[in-house]
Amino acid sequence: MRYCSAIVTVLIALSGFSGESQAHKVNVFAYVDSDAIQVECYFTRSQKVRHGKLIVTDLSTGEKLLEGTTDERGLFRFQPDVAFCETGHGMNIVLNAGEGHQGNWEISPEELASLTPSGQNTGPRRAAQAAPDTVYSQVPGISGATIETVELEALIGKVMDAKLAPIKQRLARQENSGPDLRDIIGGIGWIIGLLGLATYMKYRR
Amino acid sequence: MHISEGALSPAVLSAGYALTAAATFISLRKINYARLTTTAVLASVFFVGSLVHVPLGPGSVHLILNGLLGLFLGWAVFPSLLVALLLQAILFQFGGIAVLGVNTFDMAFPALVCHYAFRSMLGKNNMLRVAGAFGCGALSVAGAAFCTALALGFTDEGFRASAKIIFMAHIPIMILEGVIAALTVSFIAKSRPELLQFTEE
Repeated sequence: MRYCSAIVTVLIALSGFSGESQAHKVNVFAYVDSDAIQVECYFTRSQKVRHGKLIVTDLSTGEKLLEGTTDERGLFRFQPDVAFCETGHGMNIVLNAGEGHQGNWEISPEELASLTPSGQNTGPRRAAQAAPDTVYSQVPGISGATIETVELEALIGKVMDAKLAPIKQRLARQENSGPDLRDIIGGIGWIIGLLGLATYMKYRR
Repeated sequence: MHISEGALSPAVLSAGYALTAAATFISLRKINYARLTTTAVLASVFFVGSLVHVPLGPGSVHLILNGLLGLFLGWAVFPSLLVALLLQAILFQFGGIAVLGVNTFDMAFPALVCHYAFRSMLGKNNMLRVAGAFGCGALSVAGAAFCTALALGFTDEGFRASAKIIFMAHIPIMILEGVIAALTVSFIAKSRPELLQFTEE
């Protein structure tokens, strides 16, 4: 049995607890990036899901909204229907990577609300509606004198989106993080516990 | 080789559970308490083995080691894999609870078949022993690929297409697991031959 224990130890060492190890689990994550939704799909950090099939459905009704395929870098970007974002329903993005590998990611209604004209006072769409006469090539700050509030909001919104995108990405990745040492040791503990239980049952009889 | 949650139809999922339940029931009736520790240790080996990523071939693959378990455990491979896969589903989110039946059967059944096909070779001379262990390790993976493709084929992907992809992706693993099984058996035959006594049962 000593040898078998040695094998377990060697395997733990080999597994290295790295992201590389979770090859058979497929990860999807998506976030709102300015006026579109960015979807990223990967098996491991270095191995992206190329040409994986994506289906986007309404989280509440299950109705299919659109289909897509990831590119060579495992990315897919789409602009959701503004009318849908206003319904207050979430989105469910399902990835089918083949070989029975499937994963999903849910986008909450709150996140989608930022894409609607009402939720997004900062968006260019809203700005255009509020001030149709505004000429956008005149960058506020350079033109100096009067900065329309809507323009300013649009600008801040854009900058914030750009700054927050990596943080959103990181948070999403963290939610998809693979097994750590605690899980591995815990699992082995469970198996030993079950062994103890079985032995106990046997000798009680 | 873990099929994800939601990839299979309810009929296939129930069939998987029914087959796994039946096989686990038979195996628990046959279990040899003297070999309980071996069963638990090999379940741990499988549990951890799936984390070892093998950077070979076109797909993303990891060690399965179902052949090694099947070789030493026989029928006990069913409860052993059931527990290990349940823990992987809960702790690592590999596979899932709904597909647990299918995943257990896919990996355990070929291992059991290989156990009976190759175990008589283990009691023979060194050459045959190594060949038998290699065959058991490699063919168990091939069988698991076949069963997984079958489960997917019943759902939507089409059996031929998925079988081809899964089989190709696992060729390096078949060879590697054959070698692992062969090395393990020849090492145990030298150091602890009593562990191979099951070949005479």
